[in-house]
Amino acid sequence: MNRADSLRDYLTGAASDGATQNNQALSLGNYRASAEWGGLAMQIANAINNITVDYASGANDLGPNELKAVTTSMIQWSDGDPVAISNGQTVLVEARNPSKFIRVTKYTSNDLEIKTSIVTLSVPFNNIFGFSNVSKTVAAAGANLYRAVIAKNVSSVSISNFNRWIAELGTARVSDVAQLGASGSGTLTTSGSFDDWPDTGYCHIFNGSSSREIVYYSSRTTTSLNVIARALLGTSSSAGSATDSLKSVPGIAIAKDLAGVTNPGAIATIADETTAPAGVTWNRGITEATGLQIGNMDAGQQIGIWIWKHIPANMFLSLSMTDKLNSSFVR
Amino acid sequence: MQLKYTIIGRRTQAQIDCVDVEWTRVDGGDFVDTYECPTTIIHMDDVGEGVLVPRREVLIEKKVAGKRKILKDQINVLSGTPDSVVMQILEEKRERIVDQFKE
Repeated sequence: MNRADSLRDYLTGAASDGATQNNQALSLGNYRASAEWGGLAMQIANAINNITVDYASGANDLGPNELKAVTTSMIQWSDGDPVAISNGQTVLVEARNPSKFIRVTKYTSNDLEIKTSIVTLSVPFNNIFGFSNVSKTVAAAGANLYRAVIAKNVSSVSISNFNRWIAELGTARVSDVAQLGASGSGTLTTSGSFDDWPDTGYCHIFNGSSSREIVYYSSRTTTSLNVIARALLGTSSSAGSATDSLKSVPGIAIAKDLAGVTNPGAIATIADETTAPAGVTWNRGITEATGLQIGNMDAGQQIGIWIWKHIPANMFLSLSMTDKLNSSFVR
Repeated sequence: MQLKYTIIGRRTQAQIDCVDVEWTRVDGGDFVDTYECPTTIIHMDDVGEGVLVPRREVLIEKKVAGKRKILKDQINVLSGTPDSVVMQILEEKRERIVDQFKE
């Protein structure tokens, strides 16, 4: 039973399909690596003996979650149903929402100790989607960085309607107080609140449902964004309006590799992290309907997906710059 | 059945000049890695997937422009020996650590 675990994202940069390659920064295309993207970061307190938690899906709730050994052979994740586990077995343990799951392996024949452990989940630093930390030099000069993952249907059945889109990082607001001019730095001001937006980051401006521009703000107040970089990630500068919608987004775009959905094989390869893949069409959509439309994938099939990370010149200090992508599929 | 799948990651973007910073263990010994700035993180992944390790706490000190200062925050140690540690700066500590660094 794979369910939400049917689709797995792997690093690339391997010499052949599934070969060992664990370096996130060398995930530059070619073949799928053995290493997965890794899931959420975990800290486990009061650990249950004889099992390891191998993976926590990105849809899980951040912060503390309960993992219980409810009997000597059954475990339970969060508000889900108990699952039996035996020696040498790796099982999917779902919360009530099946998109929130962990993978657990039992590595001895000893009984589980009946207890509750606390698994504290957090967003991992410097994984394939987070990219490497940005040095002072790069932050001053700016950079465009590229990496590729391969998403594979690891289940035994076909999946359909596979879509991937860029996730919002805060509540959308309207620039009803002040807008940007046709070009140059400026201020976006709302009568609402940017309090749940990152302290510094990217804003995707929409005019109705149409994308207008992606900009970078170096600082913000509760109601204003101080914009210092315009026309990012392939968008163009244009004067704003009082009805524009402001979306908090990571500074990334994504694209399907030109090979499309295929059986295991090589995708394009780039020479280094600053070389863009040739010929791909970048997508900046923030909804299921406007993101990448990948469609059907039979059992064992894969799709290469490129990520373009833009770092504007004169980027400001941030302790935690988040990149987040959502996907959905049917099986 | 429609299923959702989220992938996420993050990084630190530092403009603090870290050139003159040295991190040392107050109780002696070295860190596994050289710390270039106070926001560097080493993760659980670095000590091996699925490996559960003891959490201990150490005090660390910094030296900026020749002046030493002991950080009052304690840092969770994910693994280590008396001579080396792999540590993680907890999220809630990070802001305060950087604030102290700026002083």
